[in-house]
Amino acid sequence: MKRRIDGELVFAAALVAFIAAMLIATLQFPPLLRYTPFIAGGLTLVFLGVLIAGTFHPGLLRMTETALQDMWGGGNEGQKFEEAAEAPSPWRSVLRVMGYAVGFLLAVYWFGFFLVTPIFIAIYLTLDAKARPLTALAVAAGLSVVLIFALVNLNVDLWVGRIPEIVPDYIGGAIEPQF
Amino acid sequence: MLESMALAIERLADPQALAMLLAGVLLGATFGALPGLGSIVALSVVLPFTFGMDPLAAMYLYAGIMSSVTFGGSVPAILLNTPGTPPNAATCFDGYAMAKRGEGARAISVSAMSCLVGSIGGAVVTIALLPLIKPIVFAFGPPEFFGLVIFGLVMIAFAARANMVKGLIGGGIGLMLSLVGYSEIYDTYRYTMGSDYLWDGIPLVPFVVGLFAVSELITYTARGGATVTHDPSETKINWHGQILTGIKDVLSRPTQWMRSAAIGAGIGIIPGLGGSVAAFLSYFVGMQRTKSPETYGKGNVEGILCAETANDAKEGGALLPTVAFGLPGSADMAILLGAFVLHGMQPGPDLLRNHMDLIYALLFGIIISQVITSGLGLLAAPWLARLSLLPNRWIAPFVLVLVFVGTYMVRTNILDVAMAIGAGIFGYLMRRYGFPLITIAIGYILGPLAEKSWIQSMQISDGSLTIFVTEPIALVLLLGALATLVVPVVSMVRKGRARRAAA
Repeated sequence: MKRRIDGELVFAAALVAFIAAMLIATLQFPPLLRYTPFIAGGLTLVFLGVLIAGTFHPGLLRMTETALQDMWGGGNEGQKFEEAAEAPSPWRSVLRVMGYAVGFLLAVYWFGFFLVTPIFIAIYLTLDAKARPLTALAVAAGLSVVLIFALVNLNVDLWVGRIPEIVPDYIGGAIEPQF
Repeated sequence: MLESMALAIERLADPQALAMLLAGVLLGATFGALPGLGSIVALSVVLPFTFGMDPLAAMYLYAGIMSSVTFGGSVPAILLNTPGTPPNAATCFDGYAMAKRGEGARAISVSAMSCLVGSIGGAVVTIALLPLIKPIVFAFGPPEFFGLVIFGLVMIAFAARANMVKGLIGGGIGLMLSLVGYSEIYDTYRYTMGSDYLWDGIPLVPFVVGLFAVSELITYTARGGATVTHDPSETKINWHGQILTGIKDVLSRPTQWMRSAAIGAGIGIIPGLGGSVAAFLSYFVGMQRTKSPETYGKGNVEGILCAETANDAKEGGALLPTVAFGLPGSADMAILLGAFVLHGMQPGPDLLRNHMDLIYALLFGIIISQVITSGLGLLAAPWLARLSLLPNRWIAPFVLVLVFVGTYMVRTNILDVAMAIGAGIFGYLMRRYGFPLITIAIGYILGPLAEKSWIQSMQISDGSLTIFVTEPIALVLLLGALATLVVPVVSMVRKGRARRAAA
């Protein structure tokens, strides 16, 4: 038996927990509304079980790796290319990108699009794209002007941020949506 | 039918329609030329911006993107041996070989012309089949739709380039997520965890944009560096004079492009197979049929012709199941389906009955925008190729800002942006561990239809499952789904027997 505790296994276990939690919640629904979640969720749990078992017994999954194009032949080059394109990056780089996305979100939530967008672009281009600060600032300012001009013309009320109002209609004073 | 076609053609003469087509072409070609982005990201980034737009104008924008992405992707494949989109990989074999020997312009010209004949071929097949498929769609009731959804999900999981089990898990997760929110049947809420935000379910645009565009962004930005590692000086080409040669190369091979267009349109109709399969299958059929197969991969124009024609013809074919049954055969068709829903149209009988002009507009739009693409493409190719040299980290902040603003402006709700980021992180994890995102999107989009047709079937039959046996179309579809699940097992057993016999 090959024993392998890796990211894929942990992720599969997390999916099991997620689907199981949904199935437990399903018990509260009226009978007719239980069918679809029970069938879909139940089958998903079965397949997740097969996947987890397959990490210990790889032969179990081999028979499910056939695709139509494999039977027709001639698809291997495409698969090789796609596999190469999907080679995972180190977690450090991934978390850095995710951090930027979440950081941008939090900053926009508090301070709004008008203030945060040019600052975010300038910081990102300087720190990550290694652009010269002046170039980054110019690009960020240029893009922000184009974006704001376009959105004003589309009559879109951009989010101005949750902080108390500083510049009316631009920075602060947004009403928090109901969660 | 003729009335709808005439209306669609009349609307195409509108300057606004041409402007939308042109905008779509420029966007699609640019996203196609940037390795890693492609039509899925282009469509998902554009999707929220079309909210509130005239549906027809939005269709022209999508048509422009869909028809130009593959040509855009072929430019870096030819000049830099870096396919802009996965289906362009087959173009690298002969395109790059031609570019290396100084025939890059001829190869680009062949690609542009092949995309044109491919698009026209695919659209013609779809236009020819639409009237035939209409009565079939109208014969579909709840049990047939349920069978079709199950068949579609299984086929897509089977055909997705990943482990079938992972494809099915993705479909199941997508289906479960689609059940979140208010249920009209029993006037109750499901899985909302007390959140007001989830009353209407997981919103379509942030979910799809996050799942595809944000996860793609994380993947390529984390990889870092420039997408193209070749020395740009390698791509110095003198392409004046080669353009006409390339056009003649295609026009003098009608058998090859007609066959490739038929293969592409046929593959497009089958849910889940997509452009890579169409391009490679056409490429290998071309190699088997040619008198000089040894020249394939060494700079044979037929290699580019076969791959690119099939790749573009696939778009027209893939529209057929999308508009007729609401069954998207690929990720970009899933996004297009989302666009239909966003504009208040439900693909299937309702769309065929009430909005045929939109379908024809989309098809004619694909043809016209392909003419624009091929014309402009020949002129713009060197600049498009230079886009591929831009580092991913220069592109990332702009795409992220577009995603933020795009998802926000649909409902002007900042929580939608958070949903897009959440869906993006979830999508990245799924992608990283080999779960095909297409099955999640399709499960999510088809989930409500599956549940509705299931419940209606049960109500019609007073709760008896025999309705799926007594209705012949439903039975065939469900048996087809079952057979699809069994085929890999049978194939494995056969291979095992053959190996034992050989030993």
